[in-house]
Amino acid sequence: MKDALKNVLDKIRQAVDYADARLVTTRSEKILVKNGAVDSIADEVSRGFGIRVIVDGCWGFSSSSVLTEAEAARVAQEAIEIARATKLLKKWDVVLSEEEPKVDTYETRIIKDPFSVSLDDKISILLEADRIMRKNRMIRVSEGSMQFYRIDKVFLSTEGADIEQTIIESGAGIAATAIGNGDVQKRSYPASWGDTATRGFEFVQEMKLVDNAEKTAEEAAALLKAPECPTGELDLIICGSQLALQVHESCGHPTELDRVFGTEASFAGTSFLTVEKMGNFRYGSEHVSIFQDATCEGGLGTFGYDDEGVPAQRTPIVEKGIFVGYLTSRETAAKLNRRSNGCMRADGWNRIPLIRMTNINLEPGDWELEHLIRDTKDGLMVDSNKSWSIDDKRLNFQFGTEIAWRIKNGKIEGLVKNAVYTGITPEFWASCDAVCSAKYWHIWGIPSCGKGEPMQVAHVAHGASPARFRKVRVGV
Amino acid sequence: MLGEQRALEILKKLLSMVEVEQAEAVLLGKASGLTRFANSTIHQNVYEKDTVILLRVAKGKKIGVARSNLTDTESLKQLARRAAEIADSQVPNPNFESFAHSPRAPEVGAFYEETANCNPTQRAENVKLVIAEADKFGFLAAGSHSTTANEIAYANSLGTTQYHRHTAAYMNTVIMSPTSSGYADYSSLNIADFDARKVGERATRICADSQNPREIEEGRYDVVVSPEAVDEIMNWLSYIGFGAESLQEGRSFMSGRLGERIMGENISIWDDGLDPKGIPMPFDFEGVPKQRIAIIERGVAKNVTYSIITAHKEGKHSTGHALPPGEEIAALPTNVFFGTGEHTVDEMIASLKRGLLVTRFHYINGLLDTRRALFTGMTRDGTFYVEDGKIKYPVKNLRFTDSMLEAFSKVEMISKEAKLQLSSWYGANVVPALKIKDFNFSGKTEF
Repeated sequence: MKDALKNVLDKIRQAVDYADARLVTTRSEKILVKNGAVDSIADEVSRGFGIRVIVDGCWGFSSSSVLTEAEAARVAQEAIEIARATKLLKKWDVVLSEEEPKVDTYETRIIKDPFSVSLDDKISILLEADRIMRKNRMIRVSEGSMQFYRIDKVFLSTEGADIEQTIIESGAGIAATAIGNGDVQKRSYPASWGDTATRGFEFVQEMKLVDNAEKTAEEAAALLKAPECPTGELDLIICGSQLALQVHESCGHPTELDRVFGTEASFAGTSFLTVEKMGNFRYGSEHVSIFQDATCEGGLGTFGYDDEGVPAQRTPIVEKGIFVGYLTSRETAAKLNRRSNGCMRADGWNRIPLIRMTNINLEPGDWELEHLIRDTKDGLMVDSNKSWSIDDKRLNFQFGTEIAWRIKNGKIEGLVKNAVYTGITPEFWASCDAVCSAKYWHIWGIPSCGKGEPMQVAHVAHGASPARFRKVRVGV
Repeated sequence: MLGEQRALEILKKLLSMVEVEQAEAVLLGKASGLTRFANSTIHQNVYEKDTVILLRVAKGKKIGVARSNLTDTESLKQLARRAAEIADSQVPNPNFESFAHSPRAPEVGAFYEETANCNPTQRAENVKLVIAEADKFGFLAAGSHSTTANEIAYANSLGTTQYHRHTAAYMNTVIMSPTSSGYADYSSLNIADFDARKVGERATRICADSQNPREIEEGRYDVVVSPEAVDEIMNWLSYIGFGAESLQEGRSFMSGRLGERIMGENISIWDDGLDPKGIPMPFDFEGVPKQRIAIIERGVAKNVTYSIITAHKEGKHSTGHALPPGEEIAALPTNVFFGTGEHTVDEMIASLKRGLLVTRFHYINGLLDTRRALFTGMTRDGTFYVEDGKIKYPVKNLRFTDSMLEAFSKVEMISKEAKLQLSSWYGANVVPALKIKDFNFSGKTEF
């Protein structure tokens, strides 16, 4: 089929300003264990191709799952017709930033192919973790899941790009829900979305789900008896997986340059980080440095090339608190007279690429967590996301967490439940006065980032270690 | 679109390849065009066509599910083999007895050729009408306009077959000035019903009226909430509370409270898959005809929706609300209706002594405390302060955090008109505007 797509691109070359074709096959396997039984095992294959064209400065895209050269020719013509309809409301020509067309291959480095591991072996891990969680009599719902992806994709363009990639992802997680006295409390491990990486089955084995099942259940049960989160202003230590989501919502999304230019305005919203702020706006304190890095080993947002054929890169977003860069595409980068930093990603063959996060990582600091707790007089330490909400310019946010610990005079006094904190993004990051060291740093995979119409789900990640924020409003 | 005959032929061919006690197969066909615009120009214009087949096989009580969009003979054989292999690795599900042995669901007309055949030029012409409204004020228009044709075919080894097709046309727009924005949307089965100019006009009017918003203090306000905003709440209520699993597991605000009053007497919510005022779907993804289910009746928690397996756990029959196998949730209502009242929205605003008019909510999250239905979210695209029945001025956006059980116990007025809101997931809600007393706003933002 690759040759057929090449032939079709050759044939339409004269009729278009630019065209690219993506041939994608995605295989996934999802296993869900619940309350001692295998709730579902689902295996999916999706294969098809999409052709994106620029005609007279206007975009068109069409796609199909029928893999023949005749269908590819029809889809290409359909994309051209769609681009001509786009022209009816044209205001300016689409211009792409310069990019050297690459001929290359890329494959995720793995030790153990997750699709070569038997279902029985996978299920036995989840059932054993589930059994241990249910030993705790307060646990009413015990859950475990694994999911694996293999994405084979070919990218071809009329500029001469010819890139083949194989991306493999492995993920898993467990959760225990305790119910009693009209209250429901849930604990997850290793995070509320589990954890997922561009790695093989070894990543799941390293999680040690079974070893952590008892503690997960105990914490859920203990939360039923814990006092409510206090209300007021407290110093807040945010642990890694929750901080990953904080970075995601309050830094990742507002730095997507298509949002900034308004193309998500009617759905996900726009951004407070408008272009005149780049290079001079204080986003956070001097302790805050954030990079987009699609090159870091094992991150869920790691790849060889984005879906415009731009090589994976590591570029600064926030340096020592100053906002310095966006996530870009070839079209949006050109508007800033820059080159794309490779953040265009599509959710399958039937979707166009949009600007998506890769691995958006908060650089580690030099604190030991133990010292940070000891240095906190009146605070709260929170972990594992429970609820999330942020306004459509990404300023006012509210997060709830599964678990929190009250800190007084440098000591953890005990658990509190239903912790909620809220703030305004730049004020919040300006209050960051400490970030823990690389010893605590982990790249947390988030496999459920939604954006665009039709909705696309991206698999992204965020490196973070625990950090402290001063005088944060907590409680409802 | 394959049509009923071809779709069922494919499914029967697949079922003939499966050597197990029972099997069921679902075919989902989709052809969809979508035109997106921003800065008053089209920036995305796409088309997709796909056919996905889901196969669920049962070896005794061991169930395997496989899914593929490859429909050639060899791929169907592979799909059958894979589902059987998965079933072999399964443990028996004690709550599985049998796939559906159902009669043919009643037909409901929901397919319009005008929508199915709508081309990108027609969509662009509609977008042009919206932009023209924004242009009158020098504002910028953003939004999307889609036209979709869907078909679903079901067949199982017990002889149950079903087929349904429907279309949907949808448009949303946000019109923006330098200091404000306004939102409007419209959903319909038939594109011929569309008046894109009206969509643009409403959003433009809200945008014009909400320029230069003032800051207002957080706190409790009586509010009039538009259908678009009520829709956002309904999606979360369905997700956390109207399916059987959350009830059975004790996580839901419905758990242990069936038969009890949990909302005001003026609140009734039901699901009716056959009502053409929504996006009808006469059977579910297990081939079971949909029943009309009263979920909340005059404030009393009455029922939740069931799939075959969740129903068996309680010794009940499926209500016909199963989602596709492999989804996170087994059953949900997908054609939800909220009982209307007798007021116009203008009357509801006129009755506010001191309150807010909310035209849209954003990024609601209903996981704070699912037993209380404690939700948080932001206002968006036009919020107004109302005093003595008159809209006084636009206000900057606010965050609410409140229990929806408490809020829906304090609904003082309900509009007589309900609006169809297409879901981005499955189906739709048909919801009115509400006037709610003492709604809790817990925070504010800068715009």
